[in-house]
Amino acid sequence: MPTQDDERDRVELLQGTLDVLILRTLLAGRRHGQGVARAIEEASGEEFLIDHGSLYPALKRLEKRRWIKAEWGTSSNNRRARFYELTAAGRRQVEVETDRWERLVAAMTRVLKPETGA
Amino acid sequence: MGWWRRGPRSRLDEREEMLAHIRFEADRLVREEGLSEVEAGRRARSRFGSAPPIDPNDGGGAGALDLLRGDMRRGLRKLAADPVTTLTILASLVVGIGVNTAIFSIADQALLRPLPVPSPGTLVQLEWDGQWIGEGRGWGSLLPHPLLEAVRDEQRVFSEIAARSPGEATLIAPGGPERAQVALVTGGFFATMGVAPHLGRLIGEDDDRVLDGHPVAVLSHAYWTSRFGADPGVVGRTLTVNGRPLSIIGVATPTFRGTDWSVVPVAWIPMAMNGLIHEWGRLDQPRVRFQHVYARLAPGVGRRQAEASLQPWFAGYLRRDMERDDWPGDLEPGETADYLASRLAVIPGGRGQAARSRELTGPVVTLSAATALLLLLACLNVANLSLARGISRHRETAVRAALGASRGRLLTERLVETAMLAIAGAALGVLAAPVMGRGILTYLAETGDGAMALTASLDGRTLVTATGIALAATLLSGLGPAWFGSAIRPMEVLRSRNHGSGIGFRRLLVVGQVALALVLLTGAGLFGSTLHTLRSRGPGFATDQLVTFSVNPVNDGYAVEAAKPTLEAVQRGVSGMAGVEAVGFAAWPLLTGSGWGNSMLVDGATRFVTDEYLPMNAVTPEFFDLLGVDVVRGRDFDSGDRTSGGDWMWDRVIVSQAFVDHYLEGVEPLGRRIDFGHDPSASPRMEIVGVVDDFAEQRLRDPLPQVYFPMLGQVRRGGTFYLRTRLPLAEVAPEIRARVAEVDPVLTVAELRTVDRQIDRLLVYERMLTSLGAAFASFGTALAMIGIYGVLTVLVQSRRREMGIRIALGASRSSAMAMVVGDAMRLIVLGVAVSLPALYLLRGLVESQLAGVPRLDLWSLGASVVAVLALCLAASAFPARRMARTDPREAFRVE
Repeated sequence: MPTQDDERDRVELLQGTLDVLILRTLLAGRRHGQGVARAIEEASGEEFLIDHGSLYPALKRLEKRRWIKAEWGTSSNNRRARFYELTAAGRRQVEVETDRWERLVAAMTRVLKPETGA
Repeated sequence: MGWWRRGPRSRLDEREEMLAHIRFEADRLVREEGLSEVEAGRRARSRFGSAPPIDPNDGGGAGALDLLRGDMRRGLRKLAADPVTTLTILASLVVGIGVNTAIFSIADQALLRPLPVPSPGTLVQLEWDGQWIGEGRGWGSLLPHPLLEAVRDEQRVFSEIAARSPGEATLIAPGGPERAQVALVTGGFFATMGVAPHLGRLIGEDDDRVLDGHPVAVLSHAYWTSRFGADPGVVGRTLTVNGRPLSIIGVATPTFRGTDWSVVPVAWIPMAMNGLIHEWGRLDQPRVRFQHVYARLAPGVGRRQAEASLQPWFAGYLRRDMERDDWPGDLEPGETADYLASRLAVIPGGRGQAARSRELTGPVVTLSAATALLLLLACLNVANLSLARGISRHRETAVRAALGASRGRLLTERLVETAMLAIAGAALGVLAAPVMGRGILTYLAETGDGAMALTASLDGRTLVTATGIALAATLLSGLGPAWFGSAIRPMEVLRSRNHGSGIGFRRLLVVGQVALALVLLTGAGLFGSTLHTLRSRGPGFATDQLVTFSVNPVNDGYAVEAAKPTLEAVQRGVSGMAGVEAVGFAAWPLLTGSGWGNSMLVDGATRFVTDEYLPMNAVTPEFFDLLGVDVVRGRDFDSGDRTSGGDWMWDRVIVSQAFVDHYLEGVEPLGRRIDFGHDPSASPRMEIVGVVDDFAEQRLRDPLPQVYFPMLGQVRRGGTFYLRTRLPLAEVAPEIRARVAEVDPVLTVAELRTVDRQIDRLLVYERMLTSLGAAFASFGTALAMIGIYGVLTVLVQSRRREMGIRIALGASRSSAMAMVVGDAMRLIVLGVAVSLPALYLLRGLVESQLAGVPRLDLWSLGASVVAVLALCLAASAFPARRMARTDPREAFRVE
């Protein structure tokens, strides 16, 4: 029975950060759910482990806020998949969220490592 | 086609998305991390954490409707992905369901459906159950008129009671004279049936009181429309029937077409006018039965109750009957006892005469069986094809099963797919059914001179049945493949990349198809060879250049005494025609399947009564010569024989060779005496003066004992003429009509046709069964070929790698072909073996259908087997060649 040891010591995603990661990933173009998860994992240098089960509530949430829209299409290997892409509001939201995140990171860094300054 | 996509996104849709996700992830894990398929699927799924079992179609919280919509959408997608298979399946279903619907519609109308009258359930028919003493005219459950009157006047279990008797007559209506079917009915007939007039009034009790005193007629709606142009003022106009002008008093409702669908009367005439139609004019003879008696059960009286309460009264009727002066005094004691033990049965009458009709029951049952076989074959084919499709989707199914899809889900999904096909097939089949039905009815319509009440159009009952047939087809063709298609062991499938289970089942299907095709083919061959035998054996005389027609002077208004001289004048007139070699006439037409018959008292070695009714006829001198039938002993009739016995009595007869063989074995036939009757103590009065060779008088079958009388001075029936001519019918027909008109323009020439054509009409069922049988067999064989082709193609596909290795190692191409063909051969031989018991049963069925002639001989069976073998092997040629052409390099590359 194979184990999942290799996945245990990855960084756990912070609460509330999944939304912005999804939006950022979709800025590069439309993707299906697994593609989004994979892109985040790859972009994070395999540091982030996406709980695939929680991806969909997030996508649903974003869709409901009309930041992303989705439709069924065909993947590169000819399988049916539901593709997500950003709406205009979504693109604006990426900026808003990125901006907010950068402020959060700056604030966190200031608190955690005061000697580096800002 | 997006109706099922509307509305909020369904849970189903979400689940499908998640499943897709898991597949992508599993693919990636295989591709990038080199995991096995199974492990990849498991891992991908585990990454969904504690998510519920994930299959888009696996129930969960989704509503049944959501599921169905999903299944349908998926099904359509899959059907559209493989149009050739889909179309082949559809074609199989359309033919299978269409033919079955058409045949059911006909069988329903002919045998099952009630008459279009109010509450047919309370309509009953009376039947003489026991020994009848006297004459019978007609067919079915016949009763004498005095019995009807007695029941009507003395019994209270029926609220209405009436009788009918069909007959043929010469009618003069706008458009000229014609022979047509009419029905004599007693005054209570329309009241008993519950039929209302469309126009005017119908025949009532007051129209049926005085013998010969009610010259009135009621028209059928169809006749009123076709001959009287639906004239609203038709009441009061005249319809001339057998030379007698009748006043039209009304038109029946369009739906009512009489009590016998095979013979639809164009007009109804009061029973009191019996003498106009039948040669026995009187109605007061208890020893002549010719009526069908219908009655309505009184309110609250059941059929059995009515029957039980009739019996004591009927016993009294029988005793009274025996006391009448005309009771034959010379009966055996046993016969009298049997007569007194007779019962008056009350049988259901709601379906009219049809239920009592043997005429079509056989062919319709045979056809139904054949069509059911065809449907079964079509279903096997559909099963086979959908299984083939299932196999190509095997891996997909395996993955879904691995991901937790339950077998029930997968099964339902497949069934939905098959059901969609079956519904489409049923819809198209029902559309096609009337066309097929019309084809079948054109055959049946030839049998009778009267119009038939059968239609090819479909009604609610038929549609319901078609739905049932489609449902059965779905289950038959869908369940097997769905079961095998869903019985998946994902590990095996994914690991070994084989084509999974189902191939064994497909082989089984092919065996079934071959067997059914062989049954259909043999059946068709049997009908065909029967027809061929009947035709080539013929009636025992040369039929080419023989033309026939009928003239009935009495029906055209002549007195009975004047009929014979008129017929002789016609004979002289027609004899004078250029190109006509000989002319004669008979009292009854030959080869119509029915005619005159009676039991005979024979002075053989002992004096006895024949236990069968013998076919008989009255003919002119030189009639046998005209036909080309030899007089083997004694002499033919001469002009002296015609009158020597008086007007209604014969004293010279000629019998057939079979009569001598049957009844006069070992005694000298010439000079022997015979007579009509059933009284062995009487002295026979007629002398046998000649013996003729056997020939078919009424039917084409084994020779029967037959009796011939000379034409007498009084000819009530008229005459059916036969003339031998070298000219084609088209040339002699106008001349014949002209010659008859020269004798008297009032004479109607009927049934003018060649004797070959008459035989065609006689053989209509055999011809119909042969044509339809051939069509069914071709279709069935084609289906079996498709099945074999399909299953071998898959086999070849699955053995390509093996073949590649073999060929690379030096196996010859012919051995590759032999492998495939050998495989096909096993299936075919197995199919043949399986069908043999079925063929044994079939033989019984067919032989009961085609009296006396066909034998399932080894030759025709062998021919069918060879044909099936050849065709099925032909179907395996393509896959075999593909197998032989396997290129080892390519075979490895593909895998």
